Amino acid sequence: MRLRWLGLWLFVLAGMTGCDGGLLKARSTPTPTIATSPTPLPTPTPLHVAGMPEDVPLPPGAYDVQVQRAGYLVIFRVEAPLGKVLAFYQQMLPRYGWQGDPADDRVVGYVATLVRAKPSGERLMLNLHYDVRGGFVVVAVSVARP
Amino acid sequence: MKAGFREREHTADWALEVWAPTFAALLREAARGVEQLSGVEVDEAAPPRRRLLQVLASDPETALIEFLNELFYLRDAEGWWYRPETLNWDGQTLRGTLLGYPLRRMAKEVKAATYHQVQVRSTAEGWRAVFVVDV
Repeated sequence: MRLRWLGLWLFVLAGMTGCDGGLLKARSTPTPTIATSPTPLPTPTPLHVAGMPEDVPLPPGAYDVQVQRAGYLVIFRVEAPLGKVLAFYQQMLPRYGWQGDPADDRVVGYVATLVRAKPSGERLMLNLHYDVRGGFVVVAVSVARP
Repeated sequence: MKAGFREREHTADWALEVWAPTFAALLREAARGVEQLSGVEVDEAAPPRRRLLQVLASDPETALIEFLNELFYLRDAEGWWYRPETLNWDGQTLRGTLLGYPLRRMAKEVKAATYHQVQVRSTAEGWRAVFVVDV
């Protein structure tokens, strides 16, 4: 009878430990399996897009670029806060020869407007509109050349 | 071409198609369309307030969107709804005068006109535009 009970206990113990693990492993929390489907990411925009004015930089992550008037009016989106896109242009535009005082930039709510000019008479207007629901900024680059 | 506007189907926001014989009339019609779609009610019996308008815009798309956003800005800042009285765009700057009325109520607030998918075309018959407003 004792031998029969001992055999039963050994059988149960062997079942709990399994062949490749141990008692601890059998009791540990299983690694969760997360089922995901591939999410389409916005296509990375190259530094220069055909139709984009060459003296106006594209911020990192710009996508959905619409050239309305080649070299003159380009509209695109950036998934970033308004302040970040604004800071990007305030910092970068002088490097491309655009002059203007950032203190004159108009920021009202979710809309910002920057106006810059070059000594040669070219004028740049940047309109940034933060889409609250979408969490992105729509940027309109408008260039007037004499 | 007669002036007019109609709402266009759009996924989340409102899209408006506007047409008119001249560009100034197109802007006027766009303002009328936005006013009607958002259900703006003004006190027309009150003496109107006149304001000068000046918007930098070297292309018609910018002129349209910035003109509308100026109306929304004045609505929020002053609580008055402005209608265009005179408008003139010289290719660089949109200038004109606006007539404002105290805003009584509006059914739905339009936050801003957006550049996304904006189209403005000059055709043989006149001007035509499609734009989206953020509601």
